[in-house]
Amino acid sequence: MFIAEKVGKEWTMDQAPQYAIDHVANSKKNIFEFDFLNSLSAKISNFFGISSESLFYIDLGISKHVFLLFFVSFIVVSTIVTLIQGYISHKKNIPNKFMSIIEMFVIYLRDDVLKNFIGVKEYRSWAPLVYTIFFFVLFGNVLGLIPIFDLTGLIGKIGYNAEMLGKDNILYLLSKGGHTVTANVNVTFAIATITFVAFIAAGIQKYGFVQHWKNLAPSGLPWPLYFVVVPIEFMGLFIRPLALTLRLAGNMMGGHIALIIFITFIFSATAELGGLAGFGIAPFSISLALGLTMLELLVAVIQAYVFALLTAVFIGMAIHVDH
Amino acid sequence: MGAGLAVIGAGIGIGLIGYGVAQAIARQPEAAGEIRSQTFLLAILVEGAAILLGLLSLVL
Repeated sequence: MFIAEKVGKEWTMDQAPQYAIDHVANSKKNIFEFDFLNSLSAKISNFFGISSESLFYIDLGISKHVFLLFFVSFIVVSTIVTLIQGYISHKKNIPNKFMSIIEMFVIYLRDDVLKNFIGVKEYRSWAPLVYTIFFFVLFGNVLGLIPIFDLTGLIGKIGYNAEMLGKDNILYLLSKGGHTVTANVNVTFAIATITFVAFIAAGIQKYGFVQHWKNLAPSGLPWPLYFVVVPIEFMGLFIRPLALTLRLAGNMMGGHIALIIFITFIFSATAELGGLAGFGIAPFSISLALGLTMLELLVAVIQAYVFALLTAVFIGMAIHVDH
Repeated sequence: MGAGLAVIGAGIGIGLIGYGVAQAIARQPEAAGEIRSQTFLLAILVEGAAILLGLLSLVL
């Protein structure tokens, strides 16, 4: 109640959407400034003739999401890879606690996704890609949900660009954690691009370059139909990674925005109706947010599964053109 | 309002899928695994369109 009143004084209702957007958006400034990265991005942008004020300015600097991306990659490598390597090298047949969790995911994906959609014969060559995508997206999603993850805020506070934090509002600092890298469209688009390349490569590997593009449209149609079918199939080719991109980013972003909005109900009520109203609405607001967090935990796993599933489905579609 | 409309559409779509799946599993419990993975695929496609429109309504 004390914090709510304190914040409520400088809080207005129309602040809430901006606040929620700030929570999911990337930082405007870079966390770490490296001179060689700055000069490199300036060089590349000059090469394409983009000014530094432009939206399309190619900035290679380490912003909040880039840093978190490194962090997620580091965690994936340090947990999954070391666990599996340790398991293989020890030749013990009994997996430990964490290993059995990973094994559960891996076996489920193998039996229900890879063998079903890619095929019993071909699945081995594409399994590493699907597993990597699954675990990367899973860790990115789940890491965004941990509210104590104030690492970026902490690092900003200790030394690098402390003014990046801006307001030293206590609520602002409290909710500074929990950034989801997979809520950034650029990140999901990069992963979707890998999928896009993978399913084209899968088709080319199986049928050869020319035959793969011929497979785009089914053969044996009456010829006028090709004028309709080929453009549709060609558009579908690009819509697939686009849908992947927007689905993951939209899901993660939407969940986090809803979560923040639920919490800001307290402050809006305090600001508009007084401290007692804020105190009254707090239990409902917090329990809603708690329930939504549980739902988000479920969504995090489901979306990672979905991304891996769709990757497998697209690769399978390129390999088995007959259906 | 756009978000509401998107949710109505997706709700009907996923509801219909759920109805079909429940019936299919009730009729053939031994095929539950296969049906489930197909369901995910369909639900994802329905949901994908809904999210796309929801995002559009958020942006515009």
